[in-house]
Amino acid sequence: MKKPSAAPVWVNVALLRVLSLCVITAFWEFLAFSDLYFAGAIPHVSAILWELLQALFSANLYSNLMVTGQEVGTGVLLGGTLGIVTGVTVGVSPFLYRAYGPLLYMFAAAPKIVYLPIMIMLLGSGVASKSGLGTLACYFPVALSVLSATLHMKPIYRHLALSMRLSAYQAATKVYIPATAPAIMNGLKLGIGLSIVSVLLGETKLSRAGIGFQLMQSYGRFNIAEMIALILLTFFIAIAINALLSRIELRLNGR
Amino acid sequence: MRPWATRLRAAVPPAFGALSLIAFLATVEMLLRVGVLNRFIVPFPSEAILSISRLFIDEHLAVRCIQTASKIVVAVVIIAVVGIPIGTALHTWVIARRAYYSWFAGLASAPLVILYPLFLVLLGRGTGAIVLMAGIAGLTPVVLKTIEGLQSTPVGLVKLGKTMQLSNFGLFSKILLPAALPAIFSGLRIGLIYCTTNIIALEFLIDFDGVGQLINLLSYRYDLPGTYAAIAFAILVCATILLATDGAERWVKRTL
Repeated sequence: MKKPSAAPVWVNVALLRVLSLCVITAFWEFLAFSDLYFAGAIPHVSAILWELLQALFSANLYSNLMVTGQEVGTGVLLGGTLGIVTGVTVGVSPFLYRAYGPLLYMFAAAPKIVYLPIMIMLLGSGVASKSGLGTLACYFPVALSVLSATLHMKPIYRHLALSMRLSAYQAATKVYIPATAPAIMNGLKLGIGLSIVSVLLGETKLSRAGIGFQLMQSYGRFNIAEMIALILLTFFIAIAINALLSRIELRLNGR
Repeated sequence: MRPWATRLRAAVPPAFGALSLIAFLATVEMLLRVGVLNRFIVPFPSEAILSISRLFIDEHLAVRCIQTASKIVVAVVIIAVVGIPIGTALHTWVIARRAYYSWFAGLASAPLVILYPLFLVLLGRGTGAIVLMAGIAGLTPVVLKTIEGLQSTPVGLVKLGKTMQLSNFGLFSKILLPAALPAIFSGLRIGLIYCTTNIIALEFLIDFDGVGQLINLLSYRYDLPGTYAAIAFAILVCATILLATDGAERWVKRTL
């Protein structure tokens, strides 16, 4: 008798994923139906999906998304540019690396949200302070990534810049930045992620607009279904941006 | 060159870096004194440095450090106890690894810390919510690095174990685990850093206990020197943990 062939691996993988999602949903629904938590603390999955659908068709979400996007965008632009400049400048000189490298690593270690009081004192409680926080969050990973790449760059690039007698600007734009492009992309990937987190946390603490603000409004009204819907939406956006940047990074590495 | 001269030459760049920081603070102090910078926005650096002792006496900074450290320890124990077995199970069960690896990688890039309002609703505003949130943020590197470490065990060693007729447990405890230890340690180190930053951030955000809450309290009181000193202290705490774990990781890699 012919032995039945086993299902392909991808079928088993897909089945396991679907089964896992079903178990998670069933467990969540069990919690929602049980009296383990007070009413409304764990909303039904249908309520969350309904709130997500409503949010997607509301102008409020898009205006808040615009504010958050503006804050993250400004942060990434400023932090990324400053990070590249710092990384190349410090990485190109072993002396500067040994002088300022430890300071950069030290300041990069702390959670950026603790700088919020300083940002509020310097830039106010509006968009500018969250943009400042986003700038700080993006600056350190980009600077450290570019710094490391410039430091470990093939010496021939440095010799090339010297033998061609390039000016500092020409050397940076024609040699160092193209040579460290994958590291810049990697730093930007990390920086954008951290910038999103810092801006959102800043908005949950003190703001007048933005996704973090909308999230805290839902929390304040005890509309937990809307709050979870917004968190899920933020997760999807962050993961999608990360996946997109990973693809660009792969393409840059494979050139 | 003589050894002392080499050592002296090596000390010049860090000294230059430290002097630059001191020069920056001195410039800020001078600009504040002549009125170019607003003293109601930026405190005198000298006042901020002197207020560190006040933070220890009046604001019980030592006790707050212990509160933060104890949360970090509990969170790291959680990520080790949960993360290493999950990583091992995913390494052993190929279909599960294929199904969940991308989920864990996706989680690593998700802004998990914004889940904190949900945890406040479910667990209340307290240590439990902070530790669990930090544990979730620190779990993914431990799982991913455990898988990476176990996967990268040299095939020759595994074959050797099989020819010695080791049981599955014997193969794991005698060959796979020792070979994966440097990667697991690396994952735990990243997890510890995630836990530390998340715990301080959450203490600040939900205004509960520890070094993070102190920054919040002082900024509400508009105690500018105190706020800046507390932020500087938080940076120092994070940098010290980073340096210590960096050294420990290098030691583990050298020893194993």
